[in-house]
This record gives sequence, C-alpha cells and structure tokens, in this order.
Amino acid sequence: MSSVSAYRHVVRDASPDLAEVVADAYRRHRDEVYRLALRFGAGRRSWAEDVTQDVFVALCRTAHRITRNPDDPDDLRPWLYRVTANRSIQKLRRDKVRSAPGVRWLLRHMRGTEPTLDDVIVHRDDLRAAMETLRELPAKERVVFCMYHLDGLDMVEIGHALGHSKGYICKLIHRARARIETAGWEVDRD
Amino acid sequence: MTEPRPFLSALHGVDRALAQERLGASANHRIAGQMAAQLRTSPARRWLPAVAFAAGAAVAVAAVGSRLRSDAPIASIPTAPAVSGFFLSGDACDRQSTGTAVRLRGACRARPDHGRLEVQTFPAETALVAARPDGVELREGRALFNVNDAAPNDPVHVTVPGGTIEVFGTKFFVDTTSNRGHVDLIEGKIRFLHQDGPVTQVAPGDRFEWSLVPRPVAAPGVVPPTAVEAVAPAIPKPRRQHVRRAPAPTVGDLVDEIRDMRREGRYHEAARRLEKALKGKLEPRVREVLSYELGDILTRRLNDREPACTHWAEHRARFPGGRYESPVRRAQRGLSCEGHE
Repeated sequence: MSSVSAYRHVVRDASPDLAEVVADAYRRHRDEVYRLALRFGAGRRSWAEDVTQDVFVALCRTAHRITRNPDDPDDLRPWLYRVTANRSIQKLRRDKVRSAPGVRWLLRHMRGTEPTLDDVIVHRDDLRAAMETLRELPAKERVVFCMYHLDGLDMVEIGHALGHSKGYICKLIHRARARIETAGWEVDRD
Repeated sequence: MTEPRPFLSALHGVDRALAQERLGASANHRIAGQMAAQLRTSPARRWLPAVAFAAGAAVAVAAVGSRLRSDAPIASIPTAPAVSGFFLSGDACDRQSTGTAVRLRGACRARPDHGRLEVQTFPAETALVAARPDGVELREGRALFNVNDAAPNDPVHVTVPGGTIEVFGTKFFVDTTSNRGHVDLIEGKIRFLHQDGPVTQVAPGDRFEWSLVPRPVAAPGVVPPTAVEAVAPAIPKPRRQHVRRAPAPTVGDLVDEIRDMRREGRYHEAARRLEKALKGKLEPRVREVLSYELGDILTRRLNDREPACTHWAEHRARFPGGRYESPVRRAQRGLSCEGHE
C-alpha cells in the first residue's frame, strides 16, 4: 500500500491505516525533526534524540485528531515543526530546573543522563563559538531566534506556532540579539 | 579592542553542519519502540498489529543502515531480535543474557517486549534486569526507569528485592543490592509496596530507602517510613560511586571527564585535570586541542587573567601558526595580554 493511499484514509476515527500514517510520517520526517531538535539543543545528539522521541510519541497520541490534507503527503510537516519547537522549549526549561543546585544534588549519582560528550563536532572555531553562544541563550529566545533567522519565519508565524503575540516574539528576538552582541558578536541583518 | 564577529553567517554554518546529521540506529530502535508502546495504549488498540510491525520495521530500517532508500518497502524488512525479553540499544552497551534475565553493563537502553517502560543504565554501571508481564524486575544494580504507559487502574510494576514499586507514569532512579536499595523519584507518581504488606507513597524529588535487614525497633502498629523519613540524617549516606578506571585513561576518557566537569561547572577541577594531562605524553595534535581547552577555561570560565595570558603565550610558542591561532589571538586581545608575548 502506498503512503499516499494511506493518507487518503485518515479521518478522525481510528483506522488501521493510521498506523501506516504514523510509520510513514516517521520515515519521512524523522531526520528533519532530529536536525531541528539538534539545532535547538545546540548540537547535543542525545538531547535531540529525546526531543524526536517526544514529538513522534505525541504524534501517535494525537494523529487521529489532526486535520489532514489528503492531497499533500507532507501536510504533517508544519505540525511536526511546531511541536518540535514547543517540545524543545519545554525540555530546555526542564534542563534548567534540573541544573538547579538542589536537583543536581539529587541527581549527582546520575551523571551521564544528559550526555554532552556526543556533541556534534564542529571543526571551525567560529562555528563552535556560535554554537556555544546559542547554548547560552534562554530556551524561548534560542528557539525563536533560530526560527526567525534560520527558517525565515516572520514574527506572526512564530507567534502562531508558539502561542504568543507578535509583540512578545519581537521582544524575544531583540533580547536574544542583545545577548549575542554582548557576547562579542555582530548580529547582521539578513 | 576585538572586532565583532558576524553571528548570523556563523549560525548558518552551524546549521549546515547539523544538516549532515542523521538519527542513529539505536535511537531509531528506541523511538520506534516508544511509538509502538504509545499506540498500544491509545483508544485505537486495533492498530497494534500494524503499528508494532511498522515500528519494528522502522527499527530495522535504521539497523540495516541509512544506506537504504527512505522509500524502501517497509514490509520487506525484518524486525530486530529481543534478548531475554528485552529490545536493547546503546552503542556502548555490553549485555549478557543469563536465561530469564539480562545483565547490562555501560550505557544501555532496554525496553521489554510489552514496551510499557524503558530501563536506562549508565557508563561504568551494571544492572541485572528481567522482563515481567506487568513491568520489569531489577535484581541488582542501578538504573533509570522511564514509564509512559501506566494508568491508575493499570500501573507498571518494578520489582526489587524487598518489594515492588508501583508506577503510575513517571521517571525514577533505582539503586538496589540483594538486601537493600533506594528509589529517587524524579517526576510522576510511584508507591513502594513492601514485601510484608505496608505501602509507602513517594513524592517527586524524594528518596525512599528500603532494607531487608530487620530494623531494631519493631513496635506493633509502627507506621511505615515515609519518604521524608527516608532521607533523614539517621539514614546512612548513599554510597559513593567507585568508578574503575583503566591505569592509563585514553584521550576519549579524558575528554569525557572534562566535558562532565564543564557541564557541572567544575572549571577549577577541569583546569587542574588538563594541566596534569598536558604534563604527560601526548600526540602533538591532541596536546594542542587540550592546551586550547585549558586556555579557554582559564579565559572564559575562570576569568583568571594572569594564568590565562601566560598559558596563551606558551600555547602560541609551542604551536606557532596552529589551528587555534586566530581564537587564541582574540583571547589575548580580550585579556589585554600585552607583555606576555
């Protein structure tokens, strides 16, 4: 059965074809979701794998409720993009909580739960430094900044994806820009 | 005064570097398993056979390798085999089947056939686990459990010597020997069912300890220890983790160690460790990388100007025109290291 015909059968009711839809979406988009998460996680592989897992498990949970376009085999892409961005923000925030002194005390014997050793190796020094700077940004600023400057989304689109107003997105981008400039970079306009 | 560097072009470069990345085989295995588990509990249980098959096939796609075309017919690929009732993943995972159980050594992820939870072990740790129809049994060792398929009327059970941990959807860490152990609840909800009957609720962030060694006080009607009591000073401190190290750690070990220290903010310790390593015998290329790392920590993390300037001067003398020449110069300018050349 082709993937396209599987999509045609997707309706609100649970259907055996939904299994194929989920598997097909996973096969089509897993690397894309992973790379997106890898960017938001500033190069941490395990971190990105966890986000990818969260996103596709969420898809399994909600696939039957998502309104589909039977003519577009990639119609799940925006949903996956939006959920990846939101899950990344949530996870970055959880990480921040876990790095609090009290929680670190609790988790001290669990070194390795968040490996950083598997960072993607970026050989060029300027890229490595940029990744470090990105890693220093707060969760939402990091994600919004990447969506704006790397994916070319406008503020309204970002706000729609993350559930915020255009004004707030604008503020986040400006804050991120200020932090980056403080770190010794020039944020040139695209 | 350092000239500002263009961030966006560097960020685009980072993005291009990341675009080469693909999801690894073990991660594929794990994610496909979690998806199958999720679908199994969804309202549409009738998807299960097809989904389990699709998930298994997706795993196999990864196992066979990314060389396979993404549009290869999913049904033509076999599923990965299970070991003692577990699907195992982890590139640095050593597993040994002991019949009904499997002993995991190193960084492993194990998912029982029923897929209701995942057991994760860590480098230099071991755990002896056995699959059970309603969960798993941890006979010995230390492991993190991640349960996402449990409901109030259908909990997952993790059996340990001394009792059973009843899980309602959560993440927790267990450390047990044959006669004592503890569980740290990170998030979610669990309760500990003692072998002899009492039940103890454990709150997120709390540690609960148990022991098969009889307590000195055995007054009738004694209330079972709460999680708060379990972390009271009277309870012995958790044992220190002894990590066996090879006599001569490899560069990989050293890099691992430094990264851990950086992650935990132990910059002074990292600097000392690097200084010690740099006194030893190293390949020139490795020495240059470690030397740069040390300078970076002294400059950006410890803000220790004098040692940093001295270090950068030595670094440039030792590696003239090296691969880090440009960032080292920038660091020297930033620190105003005139006079240390």
